[in-house]
Amino acid sequence: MRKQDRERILTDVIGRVVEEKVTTSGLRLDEVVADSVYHELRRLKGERGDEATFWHELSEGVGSASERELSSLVRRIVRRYAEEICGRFDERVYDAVTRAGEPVIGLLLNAVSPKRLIEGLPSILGDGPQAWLGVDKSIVVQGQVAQLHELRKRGTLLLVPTHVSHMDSIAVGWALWKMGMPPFLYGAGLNLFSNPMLGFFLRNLGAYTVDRRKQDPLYKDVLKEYAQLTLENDYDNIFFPGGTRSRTGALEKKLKLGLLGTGVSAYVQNLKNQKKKDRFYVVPATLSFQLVLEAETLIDDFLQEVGKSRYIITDDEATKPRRILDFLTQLFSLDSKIYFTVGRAIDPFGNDVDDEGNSLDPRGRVIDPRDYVLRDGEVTVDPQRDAEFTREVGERIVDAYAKDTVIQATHLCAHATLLLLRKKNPGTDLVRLLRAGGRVEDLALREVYVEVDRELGEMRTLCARGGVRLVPTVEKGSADDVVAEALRHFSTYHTRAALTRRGDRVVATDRALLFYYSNRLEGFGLERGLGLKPALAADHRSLASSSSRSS
Amino acid sequence: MMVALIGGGKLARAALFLLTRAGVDVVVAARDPKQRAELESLGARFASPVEAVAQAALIFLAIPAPAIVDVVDGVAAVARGSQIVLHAARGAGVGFALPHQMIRARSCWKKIAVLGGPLYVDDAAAGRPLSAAVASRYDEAVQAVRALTEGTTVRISATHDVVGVEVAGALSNVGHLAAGLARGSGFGETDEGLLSVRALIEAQRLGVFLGADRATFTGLAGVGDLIPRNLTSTRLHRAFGEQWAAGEVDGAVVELEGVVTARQGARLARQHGLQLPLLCGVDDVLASRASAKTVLDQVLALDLGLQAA
Repeated sequence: MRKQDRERILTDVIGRVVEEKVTTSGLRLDEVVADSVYHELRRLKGERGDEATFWHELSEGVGSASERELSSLVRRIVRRYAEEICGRFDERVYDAVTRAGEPVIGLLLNAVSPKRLIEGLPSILGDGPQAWLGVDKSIVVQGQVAQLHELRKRGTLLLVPTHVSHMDSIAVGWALWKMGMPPFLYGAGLNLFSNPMLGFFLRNLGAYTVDRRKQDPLYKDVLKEYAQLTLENDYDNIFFPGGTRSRTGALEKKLKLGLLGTGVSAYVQNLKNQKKKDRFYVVPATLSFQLVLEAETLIDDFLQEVGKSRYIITDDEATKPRRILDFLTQLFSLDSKIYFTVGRAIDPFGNDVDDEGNSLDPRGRVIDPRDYVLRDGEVTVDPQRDAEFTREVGERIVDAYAKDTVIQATHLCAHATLLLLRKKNPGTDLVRLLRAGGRVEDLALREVYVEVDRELGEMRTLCARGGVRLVPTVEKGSADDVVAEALRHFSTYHTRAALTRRGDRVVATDRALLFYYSNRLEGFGLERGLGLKPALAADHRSLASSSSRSS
Repeated sequence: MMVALIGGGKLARAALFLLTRAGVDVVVAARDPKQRAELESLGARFASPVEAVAQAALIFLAIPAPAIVDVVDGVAAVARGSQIVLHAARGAGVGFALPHQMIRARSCWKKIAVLGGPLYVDDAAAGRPLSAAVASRYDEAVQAVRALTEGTTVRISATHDVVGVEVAGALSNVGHLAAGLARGSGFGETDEGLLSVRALIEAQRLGVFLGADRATFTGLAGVGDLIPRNLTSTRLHRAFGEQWAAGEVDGAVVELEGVVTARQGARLARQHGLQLPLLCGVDDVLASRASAKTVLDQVLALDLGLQAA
């Protein structure tokens, strides 16, 4: 973000949030302040230091403060939040980074785990420019790239990718660079900033800070207002609408609509300000990995008892340099690909958009999106209306995810084997099967081929209708190609392979992981007619309350 | 606010009468010459559907469900996102598409409201109040309908549950078909009562399956709609059921709302394994796969399944 914009946006964020709280919300200001103090001191629980001091001092003044003093307290809190979200920023770094491109993204990859990775990479990749070729070949960018370029000229973009891994942000950053686009703004978890090198680059490449531990509603207001103002100032944004990495491995079906809603709000504001470049485009995108860096921790978390699962995970594979190194080694050496697929854009009301950026009705007629926010000819603000539009946009994004997700060999093979195991252990519920295993735990390779073949047939038919995307092996390979590729991947990176071949049999060596990768095919109807429910829908409640992972 | 009124039946006449008296500017699109003459006597100003829609802020579709597709196709080219669409259809289309879904799939319209409940227009003509449920996902649409009916005798109760109100309306027609079949086959009032309750239970079951709120069916659009027996669509469907049972309907294909709804609903039930015996039974009778007497006997013998419902 440009420096002059940063200052102006910061001022506007503070101005708008304070204005809303003090004048229009009708809330009592002493309660607003007391709420913030309560949530923040609770979060800080006995910690000392600058932050705790700030809140303790503030709490002492609340009781006796006049209305005027209270609004100045609100302003102080809002400023504190806003400054933390914006972060520090050095224009020189931004310029250098955006100009330099490729090598810097490589540096960013290094920054994830500075020491080990720098030591390890040359041996994997060779020296010099060759070193980056590995990454370059590993990310496939496909889909509506041309439309994305065109729309960028005509309006502001909200890129909304699927989210399974911390590698997503890096992969998206890389993909944008590959497409010749400048960095987009996006919110990155505060924990990522604690890594000094990664934090440095994140901050200077457009990431702003999101602290998901903060429960204060005022903080959420500031965050939303910040996102909206960057959009109004024509900064393209990335939101992960799933809100957090998918714990199950399945595609997101329920989205967090809060940040997404800033799209329509910013559009209304642009119309009111009669901005020339007033349009917004929501662009769904999917990321697909053959293997997921944090799969073990994520599925483990999902299988924890209710109440024990964590919204924020701070000790997963993404914080362990050795694991990242292993992951990348595997990625490069197996010729494994990360697919970044750009979907068709929609407008903030959920309508299709043509390549020239016009909104279309269901018959393909060009319509004026402005009409949706007019009342008696005037542009109006109506939060209920806009929340409803955003809900519709959310539904369209979920549809787009299913259509544009790329199914890899590991997903299909995991799905086929788990389905066979479920069929071979009738009467054993899924949770029990995952935790303790069933009477039958291994399968003949040839029966796996038969099921893989059946699922390949179904998925290829769907793919031909545009209902899903497949990697080349899954699209054209034989069942044994697919199984071989999956087994090869499973055997390399994870602590325990999800599946292992022993002679002419296949054993589920980590059933939780098998479940995780299988879930990517949830919702495609592969269980239809077999008397089985899709795994995630099968027994969701008891799944979530099962207490331990399969051994 | 300029209102485009599409349709020429009894509901359209009542709407024109009430709105004109409340000082609302209405332009009417109706095809049938006889209906036009009746509307003219109420002071209607006519236009083609396209002209009417082009100039209106609110479009009132006073047409049955099977007519929606053609009407919307005819005017979609002049539709605008700012317009509010109010419809009073009580049926479903192919694939059990609900009216708001048919409108959405063929136009840019999103701010759609449905009018449900006991709209007994004869009460209005006699100066008695009218009650209607209005459902829309958009508060703005409900506010617009309220603003229109301000100063009239119409009482509005509002909800966001569009699916619930549409399903309740559609299945009430099927229920009245069943009641007509029962009467024509010599069943008594007790049995008719039982069939009404079953129709409501099935409406709720189907509605919840399609995403409706269970409570809608015990409200004005559900129970509230069962009581009055002289609604236009109620009379129409009862009479049709009675004539069918008496063998007085010739083989011509009838696209009555309740008939189409039963056919499409039965298909949906088979596809998803939904237990809708009355609805499927009515469809069997009207498709001449079974006699009314046999089907109703079977349905009446079933446990109402109140625990499960």
